[in-house]
Amino acid sequence: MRYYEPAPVQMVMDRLLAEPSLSSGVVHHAYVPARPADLVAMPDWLDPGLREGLASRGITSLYRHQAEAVEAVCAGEDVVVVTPTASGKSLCYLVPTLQALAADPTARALYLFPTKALGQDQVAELGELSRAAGLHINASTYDGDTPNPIRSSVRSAGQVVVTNPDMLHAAILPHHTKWFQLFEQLRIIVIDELHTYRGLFGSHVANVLRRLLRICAHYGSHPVIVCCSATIGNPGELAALLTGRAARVVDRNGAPAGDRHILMVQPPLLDPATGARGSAQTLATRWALPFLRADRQTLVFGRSRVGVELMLSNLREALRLGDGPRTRVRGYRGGYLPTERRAVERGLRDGELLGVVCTNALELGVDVGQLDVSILAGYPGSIAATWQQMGRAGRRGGTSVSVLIAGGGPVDRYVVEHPGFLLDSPPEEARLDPDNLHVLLGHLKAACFELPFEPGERFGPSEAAPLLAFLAEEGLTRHAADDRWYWSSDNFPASSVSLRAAAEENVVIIDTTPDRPRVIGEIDIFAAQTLVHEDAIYMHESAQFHVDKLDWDERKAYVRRVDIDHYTYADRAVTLKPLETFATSPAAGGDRAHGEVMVSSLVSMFKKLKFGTDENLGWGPVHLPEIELQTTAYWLMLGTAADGWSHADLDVALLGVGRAIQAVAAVLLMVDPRDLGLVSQVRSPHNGSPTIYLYEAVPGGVGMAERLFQRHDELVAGAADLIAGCGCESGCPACTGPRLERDIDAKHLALCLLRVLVAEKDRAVVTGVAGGATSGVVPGAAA
Amino acid sequence: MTVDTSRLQRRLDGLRRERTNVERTGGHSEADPDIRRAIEAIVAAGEPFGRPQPVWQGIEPVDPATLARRLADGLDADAIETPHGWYVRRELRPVYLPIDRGRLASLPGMPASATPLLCLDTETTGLGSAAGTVAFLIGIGWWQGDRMRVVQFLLPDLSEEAALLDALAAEIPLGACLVTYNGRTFDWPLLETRYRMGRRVPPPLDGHLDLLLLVRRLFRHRLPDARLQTVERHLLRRHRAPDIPSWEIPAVYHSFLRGGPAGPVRVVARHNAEDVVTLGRILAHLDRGYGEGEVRRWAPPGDLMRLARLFRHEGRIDEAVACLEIACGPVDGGDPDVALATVELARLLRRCGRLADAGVAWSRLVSAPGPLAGLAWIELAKEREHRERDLAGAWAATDQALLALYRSRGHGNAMERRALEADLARRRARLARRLARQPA
Repeated sequence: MRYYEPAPVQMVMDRLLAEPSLSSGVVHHAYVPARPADLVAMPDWLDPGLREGLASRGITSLYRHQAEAVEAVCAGEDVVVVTPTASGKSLCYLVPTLQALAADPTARALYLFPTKALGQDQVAELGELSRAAGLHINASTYDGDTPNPIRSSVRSAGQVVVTNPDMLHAAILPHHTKWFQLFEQLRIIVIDELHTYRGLFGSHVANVLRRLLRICAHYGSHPVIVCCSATIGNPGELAALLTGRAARVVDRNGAPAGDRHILMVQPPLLDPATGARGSAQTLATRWALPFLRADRQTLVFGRSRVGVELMLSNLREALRLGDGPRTRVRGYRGGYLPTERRAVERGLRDGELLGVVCTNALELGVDVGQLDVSILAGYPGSIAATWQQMGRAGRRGGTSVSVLIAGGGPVDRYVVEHPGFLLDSPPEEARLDPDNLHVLLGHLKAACFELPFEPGERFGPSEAAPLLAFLAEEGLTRHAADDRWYWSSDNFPASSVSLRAAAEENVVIIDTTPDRPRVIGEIDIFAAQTLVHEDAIYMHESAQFHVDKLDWDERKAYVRRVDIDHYTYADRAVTLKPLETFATSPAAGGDRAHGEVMVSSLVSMFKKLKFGTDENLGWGPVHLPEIELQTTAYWLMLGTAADGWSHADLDVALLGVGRAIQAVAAVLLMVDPRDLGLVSQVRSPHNGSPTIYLYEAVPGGVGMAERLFQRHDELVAGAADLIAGCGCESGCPACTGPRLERDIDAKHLALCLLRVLVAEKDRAVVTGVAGGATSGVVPGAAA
Repeated sequence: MTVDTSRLQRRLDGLRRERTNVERTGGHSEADPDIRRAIEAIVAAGEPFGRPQPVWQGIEPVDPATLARRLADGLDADAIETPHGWYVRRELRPVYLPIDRGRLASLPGMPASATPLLCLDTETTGLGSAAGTVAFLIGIGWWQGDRMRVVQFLLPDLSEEAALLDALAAEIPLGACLVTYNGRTFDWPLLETRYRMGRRVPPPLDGHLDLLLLVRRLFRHRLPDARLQTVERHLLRRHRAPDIPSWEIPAVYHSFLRGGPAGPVRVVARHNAEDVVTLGRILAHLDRGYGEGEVRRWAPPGDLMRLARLFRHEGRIDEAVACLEIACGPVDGGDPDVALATVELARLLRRCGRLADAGVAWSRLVSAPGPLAGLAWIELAKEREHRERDLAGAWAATDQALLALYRSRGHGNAMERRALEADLARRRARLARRLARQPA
């Protein structure tokens, strides 16, 4: 075979599919035909200068979704635009912004991006477009990197202010009087990458927006809100939850696209007994190499920074062996310097670079142009992110290929084996709960600090007075004789709320090895219990640290560099107590419910395990207080389903079913599986029945439990599918979880239980139940 | 959409229980310790009231008139009602503090003698100038003849701010120059924020003299830090009676609002009045110690050198030279400030073309300790070689320079010294060549 000869994408792909060791892993091969552009003439009311400027940049008409959005925004209607990557979403807000500024230079716009880099890109694009339109627009980023002397000019003269929610929360809103020119004339608020505002972060941002709109009202402005989102299941609902206002959903994509092949790949099963599979990273490099050798621009996405570095060095090594274009392959991840990152982006745009191995740092709207191939080593955690990473490949005029390679976990396997999730209607939803009491109270304090509350004023869903009275008992607010509520404390409340962390307090990890101790990291107190207890071995950037001291009250862990042959593993004992049931309803085999629970987590001992062999080298005690978490949960109580089971079998089956439901829930609700905790009880002390609890690992929850309750049937059916479809013999980490003992068939037990739990209507379609791979004998009865 | 109120109440009750647990286990309770310390400080100062107990009033609103009267009674002040609410006005006995405005205006950065000066200091409910920090006590001071009048405005409740702000605005004369300590970054932006919060335009000013900046430039070299009370102690040589630490002030006011006594606020008011008068005293100190004319002769050379820099930055070179000439005048005897001032003087004289005078200044430095003598000899060598055409003299000066540098080994920057030595070696070689060519 001749290497290093330019070849079309299609030809390279055909060659790869002819290779049995690769093609055998392809679970699904989808073909998406090319789509022509759906164009609409420029609106005739558009400012002539702006129209000329657009024309000079080659834009003489708009795609359908752009036209629809521009019309609506300029008519004062809130809009949420939902179209794929590279469909020209930014024009949907750039055109209305420039139109407003052309008509009235005193108008102001505020753009919110989840990260700093994205904001800087938009400032550049806005600058180019406004210069082309002959407008002199002062557009500036305002973030942690903005130098002090420039800050005051942005405050007073920035017509378009580009920032992120964290900056808005901590620096702009508490100082709104210094921004009065912005707030008095604010016409447009843009929230790009809407789908990233989910979960706890989204709940915080929703409250920051409540505060923002409150300040706008104080200064008498009524801005229109434009949201842009990648493809998710519930864009309108998400926008409404986030902004508190109904928005018009614009989702008819008018942008053209070339044809595309999508390959779903499962790494080969190496050992059916343990369920061990080949590595997604190795497979990703195998898929990437032939494209690189054929001179096709290829992106490889890794899940972690370490994974990216490994794949990068493997690819370079393989290319070096034949004098290949080794230097044209680069890495890109968080932790690289901004200049390096800009150089990589430029290199990709002008074709200088052939391949880039990256983390999701390149997933969001950073402009790198359109490439030939994208390879995903591992499911990125949500369908929306998968589409964004895949969408990096796709030239308007030619064929592109996207390869999704499943990683080791059950979620990855489930997605790859159910291509419908990815290819058909987007089933996953972004959830958030702006009324989470913990989150809401934090922002209510900040809101009261920013502006006294008027009599009867609402914050979120209800009147603020009862909550303000609660804060008054803490000496934070004051009810004055004019019936207003005033902030009455010397605290600066915004500083005690971090938008991106669950708990207010994190444990700071301090390395005492160097002469001057330095902070190497920060983890939340839950993780701290198991990772930085005294005598733990803490891993950081593949270096080992011994925890000498954990000062729990001060939230500080003191560590020291060591080089030893073992690691530590701490067991967490979780107990769960339901506090209040919000709703309950019958389900197949029992009852489902959701409500408020108290989760207590206690770590009392840890094990020392040898590297490689996992041999137990001893144990030690952990003396840490119990942590309590009040949150919401969804649970399943078994009724008749548990009849005839032995205690031991039921224990295994409940855990296996719980793990599978947890994995499916992570896919459906677009959450990190770690944000959903699992507790299974063979005999619950609270309801007497065998129960599986899934709780939200965030104080107060963000509304996922209620959705899990509503989508119960899908969860159970999905779990049955996941386990039945697994190639392992008797349970593995990719279905029922790591095996505890050799001679227990967790897979069989879990499937037996699921057979009764799957709803009547789903039985025919769920393979694990209808296929009848195993006998229908209840295992407990046989024993 | 409304939240089920009973569920909300239950959840709030849950949070209340958590809170009491924290208190029982010795977590952070109310701000009481701070307040207690503040009160102890007051009792130690012999204030004529007993140890008051903070009273928990609950969250029911209190009539502002009641609060205003309580505050006024505690502070021997007047509670005043306006259409926009109540405020408390307190006027202190004027302080004798003569000042020569004409002489003061001769100093760099000072407002013209006809501009009204208004000293201002605020006490606030927190740090920073963000929207939720309120100035609950604003003290102002201005000259009436030889006396300084001090008036304070106090806020009886957070709802009465409009009245306070209007009262302050009415007292700021047209075209006044504000005099503050760190007011450029703190007090004035905070007041601007307050006026904007009340949807009012901040009163116009004609200049703002932030004495912190001036004190840093003139006196920081001989002060342990630049805090106002340090300046008071080390520069003005005044010792305050036991005073409340600034960080305890917000707690005192919050305690008053929650039903606590007005007495501790009186201590804060005394502190504020002292601060306002100190602003005036600093101006008087500058006027009496550094103003144009005879008074400047007694100022420390280090201060004068820094004053000269301020003149130079304003382009007032002659006055800078005059300052430096006084600084390195008759006093000598190894004062390092004098030596440094002489270097600045020599450089400044050279810059404005007075080369002969510069030479005189350099020659006064040749016996100075440390590397300065080396520097002076180098300058003299240049002078003799290029202007006086005295090659032999220049040669001798380079020798002296090398010797001085050699003696000062161990002082100063070694790299710099090596560079100077290399430079001298070149100069010496050139002089040797020129001397050889010169007819004997």
